[in-house]
Amino acid sequence: MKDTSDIELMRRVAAQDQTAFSALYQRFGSLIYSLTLRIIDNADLAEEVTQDVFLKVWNQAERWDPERGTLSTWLLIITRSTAIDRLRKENRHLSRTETMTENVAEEPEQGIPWHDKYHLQKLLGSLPQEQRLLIEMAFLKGFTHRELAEHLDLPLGTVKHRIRSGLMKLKDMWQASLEPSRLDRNS
Amino acid sequence: MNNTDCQEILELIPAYAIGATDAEETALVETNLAYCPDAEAELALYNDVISDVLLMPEKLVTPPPALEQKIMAAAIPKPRRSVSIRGWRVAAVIAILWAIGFTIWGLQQASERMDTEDELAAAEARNEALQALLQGSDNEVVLTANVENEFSARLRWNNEEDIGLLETNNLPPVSEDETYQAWILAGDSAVSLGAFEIDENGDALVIVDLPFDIEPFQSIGVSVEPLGGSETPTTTPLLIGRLSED
Repeated sequence: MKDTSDIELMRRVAAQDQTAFSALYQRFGSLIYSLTLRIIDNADLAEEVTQDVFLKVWNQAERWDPERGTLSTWLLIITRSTAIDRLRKENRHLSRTETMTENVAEEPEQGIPWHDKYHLQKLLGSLPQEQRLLIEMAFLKGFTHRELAEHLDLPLGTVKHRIRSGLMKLKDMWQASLEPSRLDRNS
Repeated sequence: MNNTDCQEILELIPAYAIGATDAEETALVETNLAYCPDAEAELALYNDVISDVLLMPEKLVTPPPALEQKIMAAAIPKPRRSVSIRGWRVAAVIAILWAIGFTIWGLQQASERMDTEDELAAAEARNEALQALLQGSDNEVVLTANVENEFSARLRWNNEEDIGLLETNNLPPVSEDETYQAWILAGDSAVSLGAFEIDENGDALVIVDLPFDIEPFQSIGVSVEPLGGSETPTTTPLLIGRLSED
């Protein structure tokens, strides 16, 4: 099933084909587990959440609409919301001291479907630390503006401004990275 | 909505896209987004940024080998589920049943799928029972759930073929992690009739398999459950209906 497209793979998973489901795990298991671990930062809980995500996919594979986005994005969106729900359930997202460590991007494994855009993840590291911290806490831990302000003892306006500025900067860098290079244009 | 209001929505879009907006801000965006095309376009752009930059983990970590075995062991093929026909009304369902009937005719000719005459007869009887339920046959019994709100549901069933049709109207939308699930209840016991999806109007028409006698059961219910369904109801049912015959 190595060369099976995502669409065909999910069609078979929706038909309760366990071989296809195993192939889905082979293809995306590390990706989902990695994001879960990044959000939850606890190996045991990350395993449970990864299992929850895959069982959700097993039971509702037909919900993926290829017209609305890639399979990897769909899986990661489910992973994020499942992990954050678990964080809240365990009451971990507010009680822990948030120390988002410096990101260290490693070379991706061969054959990962999103490999061609992996470099974009490094854009986050280009943001000022105070903006990046707030964005990551909001996106990966589920903090809202008010919760961030209370947790970090910052004015609410400061939190909103830093998040908005950081994301706008991220958007600009993302757009610039997707533009054709100047050399290509002049050739 | 005026330009000032849309400007306010536009300014909230980046935070909204990553889930950072507070409850009031989220409600403000979701209520007014459809009236602010610039904000909608901006949200689509930020969703792409998020997909490429934020969603992807910084590094890949291989999960423990035992995790795969646990996941595969839990992935049990489901028994035949209720078939949900989203948003299709009676005429469309009749068209489908006609097509089923035509297919059965074709199978009679080809004898490709049906191994025995008994299987073919069972499929024809099921098809006829469904058509009867749609058109109000004398063999059907109509049930209506008690409603306390503008949404409602109704279950009709055919005892002889153990098949029913659940129709819902105007149910509120659920989140991406949730689904609607129907139950048939006897005392503290609940048997799932299957999970289903609603259309944009909150309507659904669901073919329900009832592999048991419905007589001992007292009520039906519809609840919101986690995506994939639950073994037993995990939330208070939105709808509860006492089973009765017309």
